[in-house]
Amino acid sequence: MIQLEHITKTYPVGDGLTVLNDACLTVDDGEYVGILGPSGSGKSTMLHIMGLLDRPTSGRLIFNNREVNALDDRELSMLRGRLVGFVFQSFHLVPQLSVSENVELPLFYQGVPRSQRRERARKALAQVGMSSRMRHVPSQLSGGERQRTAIARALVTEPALVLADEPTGNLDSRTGGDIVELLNALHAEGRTIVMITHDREIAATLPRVVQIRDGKLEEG
Amino acid sequence: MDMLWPVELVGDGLRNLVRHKLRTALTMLGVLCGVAAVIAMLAIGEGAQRTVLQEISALGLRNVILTSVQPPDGAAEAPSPRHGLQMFRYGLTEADVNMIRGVCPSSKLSVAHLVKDKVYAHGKRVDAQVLGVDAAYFQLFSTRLLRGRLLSTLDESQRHQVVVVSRRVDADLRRSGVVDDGFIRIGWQHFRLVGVVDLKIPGGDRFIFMPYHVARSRFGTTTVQSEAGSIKSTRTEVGQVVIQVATEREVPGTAMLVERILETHHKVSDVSLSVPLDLLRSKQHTQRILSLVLVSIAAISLLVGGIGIMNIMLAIVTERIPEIGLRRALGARRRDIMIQFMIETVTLSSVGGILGCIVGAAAVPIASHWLEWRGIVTAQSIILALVVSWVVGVVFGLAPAARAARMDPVTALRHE
Repeated sequence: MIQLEHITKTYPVGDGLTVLNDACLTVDDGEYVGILGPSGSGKSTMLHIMGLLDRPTSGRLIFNNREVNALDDRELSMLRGRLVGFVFQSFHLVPQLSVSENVELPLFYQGVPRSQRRERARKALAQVGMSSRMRHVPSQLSGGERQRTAIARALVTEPALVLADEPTGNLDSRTGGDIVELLNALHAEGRTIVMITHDREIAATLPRVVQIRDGKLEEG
Repeated sequence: MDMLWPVELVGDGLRNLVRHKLRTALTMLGVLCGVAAVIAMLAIGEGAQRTVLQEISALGLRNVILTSVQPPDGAAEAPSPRHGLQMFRYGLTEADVNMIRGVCPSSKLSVAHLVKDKVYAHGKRVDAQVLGVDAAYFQLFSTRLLRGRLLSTLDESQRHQVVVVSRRVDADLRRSGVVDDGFIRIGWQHFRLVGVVDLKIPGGDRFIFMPYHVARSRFGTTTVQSEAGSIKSTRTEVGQVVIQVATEREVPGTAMLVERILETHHKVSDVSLSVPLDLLRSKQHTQRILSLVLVSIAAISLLVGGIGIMNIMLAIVTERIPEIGLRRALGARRRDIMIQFMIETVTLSSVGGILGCIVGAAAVPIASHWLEWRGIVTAQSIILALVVSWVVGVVFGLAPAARAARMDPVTALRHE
């Protein structure tokens, strides 16, 4: 599915701040991988590189057997929209759009006709148990409901990879548990999921965990 | 790409604008005022232009009008004080008329005699200039007969003591109780009112017209006035000459020729030459400059409106940085972000422009009524104002939209 080969990411701060240092990782189809690490260890940077939002300073990124380093913004945007579904810690829902419209958004940029978008958003929302909230706006939802909406948005394009960046970070433990259960259920259906977490309890339930320390990756 | 895509973006943009009603309204206000000002200024310019055109066209664009005028003090021809009697002679002469007739054989020519006696209606003084004119005189100007009839060749040949008055004089006469077929007194002679006309000739709008030969025979060419112990006699042979050439192209040549004749035979400037066509061109030129100045002033307010839009759009872009990052994460290209913000800006300026047109078009008749200015809102001015408001949106929306599109998605997502 996705291969990170000797990825280094250095930010031009001072003499150069290296966040990822020669990181290598392979995630296969249908895997559920947790990335564990302390704050500032480079977890989010790695997730952004895997999600084609950021480019590595050096190293190769292979997505579905295709090297994507050299792609331009247009091609990267297209691949990102079709292959990756993001779930963010702070939900990132567009406040002026309804739940249904938020879920439709990735399809909108793929040029999917409106009627099809509606139908696919309805199905994705049903999958996360949000059918009754389709016409609400984000401000009318609880934290858990917002994250469910965000998950539905990540699923609506039927992406090859779901990337979740601390999806329970802004939720209480009970609601967080519900979200983890939902992600587990999606994995059980065959989804490939990479989840960033700093919660060791959640990490302990995942089939594979990769630790990140000082920009380097370690299995287990 | 879905055909509904731009329509949906417009809808999305509108929703964003509606969400911040006050901010949107205040931003639009800048464009609204600018566009309304453009509409109003263009309307005033157009109104003034048409008024000038109508007024000057009424003088006859193929006419060259010569009028005898009293020269500056001491410059009149042949002052000869004899037994306390001062004789003055000035203005056009019969000889001038014959010469003009000779050099402009194909032109129509009409002569008017100036009567200097005072006018009374039922004993009350009436302020009016009296002219003795031939029947052809009215045809040389755009004359509109309001009531009664014009002077005829029969009046001329039979020496009928009849008059035709202009609209302003008619209003005064009516106030004094003189109705149609009533009589007025000019000097010691009584004249019957037979018609009311609306016409524009040099020298104002208060005229009384009588048959040319009646004026010459009843009032002569000499006026005697007693002034500070001495008696002053002034003689003007011909009051006015109107030359009408066949085409507008002949006007400058004819005017030049006539001017030469007058310069040769008149030592002092006692004849004024009026060429409505020149007047029209000069007025139109002035008017165009005035319109340009007015529209420039309006354009400045539109520019201020545009800067206001850009300012707000930059604030909106800053406010929505995380949303930009999210949209990029969901597959939006830089171009999509650019279009989204451009559509919002253009929607803002276009709606402001439409409202500005409505306000401007509604304000013009009201302002025209109160200020007694003529304002004409044309379709072209509306189209121009709408296009300009749209251009303002595009021009001033480019910088904020480009800023949004250039944003790094990761930085945008991390923005608090």
